[in-house]
Amino acid sequence: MTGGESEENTQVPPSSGSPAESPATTPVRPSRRTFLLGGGLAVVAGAGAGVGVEYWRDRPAPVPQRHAPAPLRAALAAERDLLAVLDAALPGAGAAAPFLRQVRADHLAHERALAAAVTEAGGAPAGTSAPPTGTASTAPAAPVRSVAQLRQGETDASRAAARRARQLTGRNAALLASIAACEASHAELLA
Amino acid sequence: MTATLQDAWQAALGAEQRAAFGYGLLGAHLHGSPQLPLAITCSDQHEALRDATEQAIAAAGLTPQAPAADYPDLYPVTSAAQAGALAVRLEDDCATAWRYLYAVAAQPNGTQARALRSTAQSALTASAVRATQWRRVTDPSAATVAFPGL
Repeated sequence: MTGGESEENTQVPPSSGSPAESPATTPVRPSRRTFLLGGGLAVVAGAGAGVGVEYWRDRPAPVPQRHAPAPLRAALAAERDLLAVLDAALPGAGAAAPFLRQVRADHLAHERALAAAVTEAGGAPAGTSAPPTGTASTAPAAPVRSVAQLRQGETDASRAAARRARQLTGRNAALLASIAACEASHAELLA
Repeated sequence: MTATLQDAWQAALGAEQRAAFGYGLLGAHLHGSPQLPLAITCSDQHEALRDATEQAIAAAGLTPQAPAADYPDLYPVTSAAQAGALAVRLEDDCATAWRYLYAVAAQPNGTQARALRSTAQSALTASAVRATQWRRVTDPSAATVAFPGL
């Protein structure tokens, strides 16, 4: 049978490498155990070398230092300032508090979108993100402002965002254009 | 001017034509309502922007697209509440069209159409503000959206 012949041809002779059958006059011939141990070490070493090569190959190549455009970074800073101002105003806002909470939620969304855009454009983290809830900010305490002052602040922020949008191109420009429109709607809400 | 920019400009005109039609439709259901003056103001603003956009497109040597004879997707409107909801929808749709024009005009490898960007910003902002005016009536707890036009 062909299968039987194949098995026979591949079998290792049981006596192969046996010390009893090894001539004492041939010390350079390795024993079976030595041969297998050496082979195993070679395999491990080879695999290790391969892993090492892959490790170095997978390390990110140095990339040129990039910086996010200044208008984008300024827009992010402005959003964080607005969040700090709202956090200062909310505790004493009274009847205006529900509106201010809406405004704050929008600014938080702006801050997150701009932080992502800055990170993408600059290749570096964009700093501390604003807290998700409206009572504590990591930013320095801002002066408490009246609703009228907050409204004026939103109007100013809208104009600044539109101006920064004009200085940019692509989707970051469109992002700031939309943020400018939102901040104008905040001024309307606080009217 | 690229074909994409032309198409975006015509789409903004189309949104304004549709909004002008829509306000005519919804205004009929606001007689006696405190929102009627707002509807009239918004309608006037959309008609003015529609006309100005048509003229600007023509002045650029292009043919402004004609308005549709009807806009079946705006129906039905049978109450003041539905009228308010439609007004929000019209403003959101206009914001989307103008923001798209802004984005196309701001492409880094395309035409830097500064004048169009300025027009688009103004129109986008105006629609966002009008949408907030309507949402204060229809859904005061969510009167603004973070990214108008998106």
